[in-house]
Amino acid sequence: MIDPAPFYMIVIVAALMVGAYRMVHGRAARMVAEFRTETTLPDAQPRHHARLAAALVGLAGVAIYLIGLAARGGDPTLAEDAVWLAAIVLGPAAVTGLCLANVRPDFAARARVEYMAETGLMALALVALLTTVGIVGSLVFEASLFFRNVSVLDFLFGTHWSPQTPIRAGQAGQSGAFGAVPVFAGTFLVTLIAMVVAAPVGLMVAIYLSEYASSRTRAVAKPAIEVLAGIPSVVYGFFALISVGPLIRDAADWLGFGVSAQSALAVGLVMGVMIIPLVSSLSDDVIRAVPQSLRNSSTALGATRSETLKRVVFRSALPGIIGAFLLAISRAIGETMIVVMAASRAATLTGNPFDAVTTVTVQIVALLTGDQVFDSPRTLAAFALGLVLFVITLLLNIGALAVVNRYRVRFE
Amino acid sequence: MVEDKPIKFSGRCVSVHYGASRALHNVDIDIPDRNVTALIGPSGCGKSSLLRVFNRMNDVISNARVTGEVRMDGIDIYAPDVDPVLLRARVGMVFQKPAPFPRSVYENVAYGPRLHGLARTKARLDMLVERSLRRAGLWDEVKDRLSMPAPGLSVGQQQRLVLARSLAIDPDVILMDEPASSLDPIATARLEALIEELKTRYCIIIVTHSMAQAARISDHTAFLHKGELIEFDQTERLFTNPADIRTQDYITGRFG
Repeated sequence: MIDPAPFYMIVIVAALMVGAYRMVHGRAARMVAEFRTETTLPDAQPRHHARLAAALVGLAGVAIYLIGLAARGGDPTLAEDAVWLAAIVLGPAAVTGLCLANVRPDFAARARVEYMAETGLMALALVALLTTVGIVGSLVFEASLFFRNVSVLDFLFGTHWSPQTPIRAGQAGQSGAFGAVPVFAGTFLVTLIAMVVAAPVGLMVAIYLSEYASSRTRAVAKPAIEVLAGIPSVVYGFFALISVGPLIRDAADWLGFGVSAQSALAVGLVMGVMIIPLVSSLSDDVIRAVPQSLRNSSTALGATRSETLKRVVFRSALPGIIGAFLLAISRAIGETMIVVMAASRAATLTGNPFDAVTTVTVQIVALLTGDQVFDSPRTLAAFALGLVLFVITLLLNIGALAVVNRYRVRFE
Repeated sequence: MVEDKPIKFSGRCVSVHYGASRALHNVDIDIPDRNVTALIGPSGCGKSSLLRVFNRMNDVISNARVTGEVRMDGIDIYAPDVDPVLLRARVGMVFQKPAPFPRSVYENVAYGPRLHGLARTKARLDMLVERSLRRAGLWDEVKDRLSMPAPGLSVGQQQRLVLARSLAIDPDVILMDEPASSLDPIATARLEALIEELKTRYCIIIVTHSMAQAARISDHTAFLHKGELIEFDQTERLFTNPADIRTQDYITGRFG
């Protein structure tokens, strides 16, 4: 059964806000009429008073609403709801009264509205910040639980990964091993293959679009390439699973050697195609940001177009291009859907792109899906992996931003 | 016109169009070598377009079209067998706003010689860099910090640096497009003294908005108006005894 009370409470709060606005505005307007000769800018004042009142009423109402919602519990009684209703009407009513009492010519409503807007925006910014802190905190906490069972060194430097732990004591063949090296090696192998595809292709696309393409070509080609970025990664995963993987396997069969359909090569290739638009559009931006005057100077010194491109444009844009690459790498490392669909789950420590490898994201998904005891090392291992992944991408992003910022300063 | 110096550039019926609009119309001009020639005129009169005719920088603008005949030392520089890239190596250019490459002072000056393979050894390159910086009057200020990033220099120093950069490939001609417009009076005075020195070695063509500057530094002055060359004469004569009423109006400040 649907409980309508919370919805009506919100409507009541909204109605009270409108009421407070009208009442305060009316009172302030009447007062302005009396003081019209003494103030210089009287006509805006009622609006500021009314806004302030409405905002305060809204704040009080929402606060009472949330407190009520939290205190209400799963099975509310009519009496509890009556108290809630009374509070949600009386609280804002008291605030409205306070505001009405404060409608005086010497009350700086406008400055307070300004102050409230500032505080409100700061609070919203804080929400984003606190969420991040909360996520990192929970990652660290769960990972620390994991590291109570498995030593950090074994985790970071162990070369054997088989996270099946015995559910009952004495169960055979289920000894957990949490050496994460093969998992990270798999991630890096796939990322490397993806970058081998995406870096040169993306860069060439960017150079073509920014330096050679006519504006008409550009108007068509740039959105077309960016469509690639709009394809959901599950579609890429599907493509890797049923087309590219088997294609590479069949080609290898034909050449006479056996290759897994889940080879790192297939996954990396598809992932590379997926991040081409990221590399090309970021690089395109930085190449176009190189001032035309530098190109002209180089041309006037007798450099050809490609010499100018190589020696001036590319050199000037290099920090930005490196930044683009780093962002693409962190995207590839964190990519989940393609690898979950098309990569292996078994952790093999190998540098051979034709072997099947697993990645950090695949393992996290594998560890957390299915029926699990939540405090087993097996489940907690996912948080440890997540933490390390987070640290790696964080460092890459910080590095990318630092490089890009240094570049920005240079032309100012 | 009395000429004691050989003619460097001779233009006949030179017109420049940008798309449908005409920037320069049937200009005939003979520019003497080892001399400073100033191009003056109100904004949009075509003086920059004329300047860019001499090193074919108009080619870089996609809808620009140059017609007529321009000869440098008697050779048609718009002939199909002339490589504009090689022409630009002989005709250097300094722009209105200095645009040093975001690299070191040394690398900026060494850019041209490296590009054209002028220095086989490091010692020769060092020599070229030093000579160019000396000619541009910048050596004493930067000799101890050749490896500092060039964009960190002051604007006046940057303008002399880009001048040194064009001198490093040893051109015959230096084109200057309002080189002093972003400089303060002291830096402008330095640049003008430098131009005075350089004209013994190079043919210099300078576009300027300042008639006082044209009068101070140039030997010949061309006055352009609405895409046409109104008057071209020795600077002294043009400023003291202009033949055309429009020239007189412009130099006396009646318009422009």
